[in-house]
Amino acid sequence: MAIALNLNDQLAVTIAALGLIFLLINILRVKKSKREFLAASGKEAVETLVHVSSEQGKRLVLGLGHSLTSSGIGLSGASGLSLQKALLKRSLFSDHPLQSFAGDGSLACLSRMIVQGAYRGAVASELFRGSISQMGGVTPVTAVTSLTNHISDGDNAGLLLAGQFSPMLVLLLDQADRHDLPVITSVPSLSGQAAGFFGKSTNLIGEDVFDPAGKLNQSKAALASLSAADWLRIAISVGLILAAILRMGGSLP
Amino acid sequence: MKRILPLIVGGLSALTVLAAVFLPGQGSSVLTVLLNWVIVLAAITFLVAVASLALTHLRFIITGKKGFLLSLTLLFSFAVTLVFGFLRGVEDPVFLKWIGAVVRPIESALLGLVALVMMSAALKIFRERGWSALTVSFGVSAVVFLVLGLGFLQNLNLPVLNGVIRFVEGLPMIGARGLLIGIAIGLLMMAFRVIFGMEGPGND
Repeated sequence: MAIALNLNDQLAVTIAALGLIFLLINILRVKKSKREFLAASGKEAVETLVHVSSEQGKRLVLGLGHSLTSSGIGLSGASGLSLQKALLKRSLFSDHPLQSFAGDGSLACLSRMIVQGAYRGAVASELFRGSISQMGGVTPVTAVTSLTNHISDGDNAGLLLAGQFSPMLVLLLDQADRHDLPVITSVPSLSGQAAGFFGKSTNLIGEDVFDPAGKLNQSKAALASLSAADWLRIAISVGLILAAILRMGGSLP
Repeated sequence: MKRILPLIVGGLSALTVLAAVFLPGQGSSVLTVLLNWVIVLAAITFLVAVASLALTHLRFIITGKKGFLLSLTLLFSFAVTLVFGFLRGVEDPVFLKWIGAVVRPIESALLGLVALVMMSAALKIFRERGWSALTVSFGVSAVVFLVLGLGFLQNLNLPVLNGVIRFVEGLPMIGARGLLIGIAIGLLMMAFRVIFGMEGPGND
């Protein structure tokens, strides 16, 4: 069976294959102690917020976005789940564990599974409370407005927005600014990343949005994929430069 | 077994979708079937999430939790919409008109608010973040693109100027492509972690 791929598909397959090879190599070579991949602000931001919330005895609120299956199917909508897992581990037994809100049915179910998994992993299934992971709304507007309701709560130490958000998230950031609530945004879309520069919020961009937990997530898989992403970025850059040179030399159409 | 079975199913599904994407003829029928499964599954998860939401807010009302009036409003509007939806059908024009009469004005008002907030944000950025390379380049590019958007310079029809305008108008695309490449790389790595079971609800 012959498979005829066009040039774009061939490039996509090559990049994916390279990514897989780099990931496998890095899983074998990366040590847990090494962590030099994220920019300093991204590396520290979430960890600092966790410390602040522990000191103040307050909770962190996590918005997981509004899109996983509702408006087009895309894995990028689930980028906040790894952050939820990392933060839950640290706040599971505190008075105010991490409170998360999802704006999509599938995302809400996955988020609930993560909460349940965290309690099961800590051998404390009897403490599981579903209310710490709720569905906030089912459209981009309702997902944002439901979160806006929680900003004025005095029990909040910070707001984290990790997942797909429409530019309406500026409403959230504005409210957070007015209540002096620290915010970290990690949105895997261009419009969301642009909106994330609002006010005093810490904004993660590019591939950093897929590792928002920064220092908190020291799993070998996370470290290996960060390193592999760096290698892949270098490979793509070299490829782009070579293509530009070949194009200028007339070797490429 | 409890962990391995979902991992195998997930991994095989992902590989099947990947193969189907690159097999235009044979793959499209497989993709259609898989997409239908995803729609059914997403609908079920949505129902589960809605039921869970209703139960959570019902619990808030029963226990008299702070802000339970909002929960009451939510459950009341949910029940009204559900009952009318069942009675008249979701395609009924009267039902859609009622829902639209509530939802559209609220969404329009919020969008108007977003426009105002964005305008104030553009001014606040200098106060909040000070005069840095980021804020200055933001201000300069906003003014430049505002001027270019007016179309006055393009109407002068100067070949050299038109070349410069074309170059400047291409700059945001370069930045956007850079960010999109970054996002795509991160997404690819995340996809591999999910496919190979390194990322999941319960595992570490």
